[in-house]
Amino acid sequence: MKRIDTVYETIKELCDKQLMKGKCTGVSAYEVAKLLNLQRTNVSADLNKLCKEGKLIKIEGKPVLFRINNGFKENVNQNNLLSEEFNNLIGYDASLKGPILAAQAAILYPPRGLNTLIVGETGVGKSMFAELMYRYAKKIGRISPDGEFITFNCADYANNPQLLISQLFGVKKGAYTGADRDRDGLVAKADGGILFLDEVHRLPPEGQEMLFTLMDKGIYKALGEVDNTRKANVLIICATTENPESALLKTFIRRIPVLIKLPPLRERTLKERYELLKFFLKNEATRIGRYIIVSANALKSLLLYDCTNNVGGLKSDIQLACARAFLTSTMKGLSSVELRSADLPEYVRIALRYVNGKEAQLREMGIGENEIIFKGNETIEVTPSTNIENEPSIYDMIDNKRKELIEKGLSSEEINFLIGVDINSYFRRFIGRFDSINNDELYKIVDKQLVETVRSFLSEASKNLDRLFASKTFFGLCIHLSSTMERMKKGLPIVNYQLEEIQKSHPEEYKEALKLKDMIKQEWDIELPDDEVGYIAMFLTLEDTIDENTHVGVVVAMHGSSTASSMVDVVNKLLGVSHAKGYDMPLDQKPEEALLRLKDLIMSVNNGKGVILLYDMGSFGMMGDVIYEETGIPIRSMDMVSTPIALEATRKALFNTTLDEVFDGLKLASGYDSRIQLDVRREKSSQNSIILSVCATGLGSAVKLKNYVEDRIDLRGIEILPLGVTNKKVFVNEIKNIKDNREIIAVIGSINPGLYDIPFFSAADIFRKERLSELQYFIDSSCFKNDIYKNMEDVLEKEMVLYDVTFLIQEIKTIIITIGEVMNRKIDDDTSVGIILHIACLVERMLKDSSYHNTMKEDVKKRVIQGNEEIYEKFQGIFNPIEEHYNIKIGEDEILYLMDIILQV
Amino acid sequence: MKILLVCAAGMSTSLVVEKMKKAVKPEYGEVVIDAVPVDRFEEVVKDYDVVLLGPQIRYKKKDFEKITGEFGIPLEVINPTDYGMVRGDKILEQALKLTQK
Repeated sequence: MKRIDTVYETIKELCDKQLMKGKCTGVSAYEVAKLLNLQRTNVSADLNKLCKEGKLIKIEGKPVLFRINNGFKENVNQNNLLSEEFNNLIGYDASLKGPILAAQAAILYPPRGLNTLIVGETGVGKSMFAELMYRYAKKIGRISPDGEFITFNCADYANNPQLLISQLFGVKKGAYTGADRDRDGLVAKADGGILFLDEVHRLPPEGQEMLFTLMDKGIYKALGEVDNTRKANVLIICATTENPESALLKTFIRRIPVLIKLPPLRERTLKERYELLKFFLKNEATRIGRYIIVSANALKSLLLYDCTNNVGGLKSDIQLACARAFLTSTMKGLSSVELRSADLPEYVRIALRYVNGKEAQLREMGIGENEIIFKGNETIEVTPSTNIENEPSIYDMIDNKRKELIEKGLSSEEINFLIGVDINSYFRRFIGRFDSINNDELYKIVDKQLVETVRSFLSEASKNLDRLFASKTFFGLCIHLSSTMERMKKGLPIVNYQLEEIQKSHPEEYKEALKLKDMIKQEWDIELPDDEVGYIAMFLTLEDTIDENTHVGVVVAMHGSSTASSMVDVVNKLLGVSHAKGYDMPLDQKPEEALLRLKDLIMSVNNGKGVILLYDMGSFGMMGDVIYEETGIPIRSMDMVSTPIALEATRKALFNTTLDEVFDGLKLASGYDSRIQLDVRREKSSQNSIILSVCATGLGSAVKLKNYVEDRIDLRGIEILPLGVTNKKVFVNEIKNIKDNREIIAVIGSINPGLYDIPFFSAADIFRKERLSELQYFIDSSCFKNDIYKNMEDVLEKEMVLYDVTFLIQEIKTIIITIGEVMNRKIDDDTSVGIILHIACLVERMLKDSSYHNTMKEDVKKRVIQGNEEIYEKFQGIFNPIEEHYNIKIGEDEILYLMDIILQV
Repeated sequence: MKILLVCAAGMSTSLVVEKMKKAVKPEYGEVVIDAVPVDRFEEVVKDYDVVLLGPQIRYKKKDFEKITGEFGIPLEVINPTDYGMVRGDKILEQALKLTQK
């Protein structure tokens, strides 16, 4: 025992005695020196040192006294034991728990730790474990800060004991020819640190003897040294793959107090093995600098195969597989590395057959049928159902397409054109994939900071462009940008063949997109090229920007100061949402004020799909109409609201239903149909088609345009709705709302909504005769289907010399209804129109030439009648009223022509 | 340009043909428009540049296309609304567009 330790023990003893008598007053240096028969100055030095270490407390005075510091806890405290060195070890709390405790005990044992033997199969991690013990020892101060970790593999010199000894213990000058100077061995180097002797069973007998002396006495002799001995303070850790019961090791074990057995991989848990796998795969991903996508089967094989070389073997097998996968993926032109079963060595691959009975365990660890993505930065990606990462980026698509087209020998101009065409359709597909992912999944793939940047950018753009963005636009943009930035880091080109087109046709969006460029420059110091800005602008122009997950709003309006809000409260609580909103109308509130407030509420609740207004009684229903008139927000009102109805309305609204679906559902649920209440607005609007007259300069010019058109064409009762809108976006939104209820035949005015299904007539068009008649045509066409008989009557009246058209149309209608009854199906409009026209032409022809008749070919005749004799029978005399009225005789074969049309439809 | 219209008995299309003829403008060049009943379609079709079917016999389209396909003659069903409204101009337009495809 060192002097200082003896001093400490003595003080401790004396203090304890004092304490037992009542109070620890302290001990002087003199007392200790006397007791131990030591120099007082030496004791003083030790005492001061112990004070510095915090083990003693100095009590100033004469004489200076020292006492034990009870607050001091020796390092041997359990809390300090939990070293992160070991805790980072995979399996530290399971299969490696025992070994770690033993290792810690060995290191902690005073005064300098205990020599240790680590036993385990090849590749279990003995060297790594020894190194962790070293780090731990250093951390807790068991070895000096400059103490080194010296590794020596005994197998290296097993056949040359002389050399081995010289390596380990050093050489004295003149020990052998050529030993021209003293040379230190590894033991000297390890003085104050740890000497790790790997494969210690290969140490020859001479070496063993010397090692034992070192262990026992802390002394050794260099090679060639005769009388002089050297001292070394070395903690020795040995490792071996041999069975510790073997004869050779028995002598060792006697001298080495701590034996640590590291378990082979097969004895470790599946979970640990998975952790190891993940660790290695992530390392590989970092090394390669790409994602590694591992198929479920490959992963299972790696988890289950018989890995004879343990963790080390697992590591090298994974490295090999990744190298192969890297090669195949690169050849395929993939941006990530796809590790499939085929990339594994056969002995790994076949392990898939052990999977039976382990599925549940695997699933618990998150291994099902999906691929798993490994990224370098410490995270592991488990993709649930959609494998977003697998989708090639826009650039991959362009690169591949390009290669393909070059191979086909197209000119670069043609290629640019074709790719330009493709980009748009690709864009839609790309975006379409992100319907179902959520934020959490996004964060796994895209840097969170980037996600936040995109979020704030879109919210700004949304304001500036007056447009709502769908969540898929958001997700798509995040993922796109992330892949762009990676691509730029790799120095790959960013090309957008549609850049010019975008800049020209979407200047607003392009301007917004430039802002994102600035943001990214600021935060990442990455300068996005204009081509990329073009893509961002394309994201902003994507149609279908109304978030499809928006819901029909639900407003409950009731008289009383809190009736509505408490009903809404119940509904929201029951459904676990906050979707329904209440409007309380105190009895003394004036209707005008109520209207204003209700309007505000409805406007705030509406997110594009309209609002269901449930109320108790009175004027609320009318207010709904007024608010619709003023705001254009579609509103369906229903009175006599009750909690179950409000509940049903909210529940339905939360599904992705339309306003009318919610409303119709409610009518059914409440027996509402039986009541007289009719939604007047709905009746009116669902029947009517409409023409929008729109002007950016205000309502006034829209009204003028409307008047001009009304004077010049036959509107057939169709309403022209004048609108004053400031810009196209607002207008498109407006159109969306109107289209819910009405068919928009055409838009006239100064803003072209640019929708594929709505024809547009500019103000200038309206002054041109042929364009005006074109508008008339759209109106006529739209009205035609509403009542084909009435409209056919008009047509025939105008186009034919035939008389009594009204009578004829009525008769033809009867014929068509009769046919429907005989055939037991409804005759569709197109066929009806054909029949009307056919009969009308026939009648007219016969009026001109009473002898005229059609003759059907005999073979056709046979085909028509065969098997349809019954119908033929029933059709007899079907033309009688017409024949009588016009005094003509319609030929037999006409019934057959009619049948031919009807039967084949 | 020769246009063939086909309907059940060649009856209704005769009215349409008249209207179409009225809509022909000088810039269209020489335009011939004929109407035939269904059962005569096969024997005359190869002399025409384009075929239009009356909506009431649209079910014949597939069969007829097999024949017109051989000659490379475009074929379409007349827009039912135009047909009902006897819009000769629109139907003529449809036929002209069809030949330009």
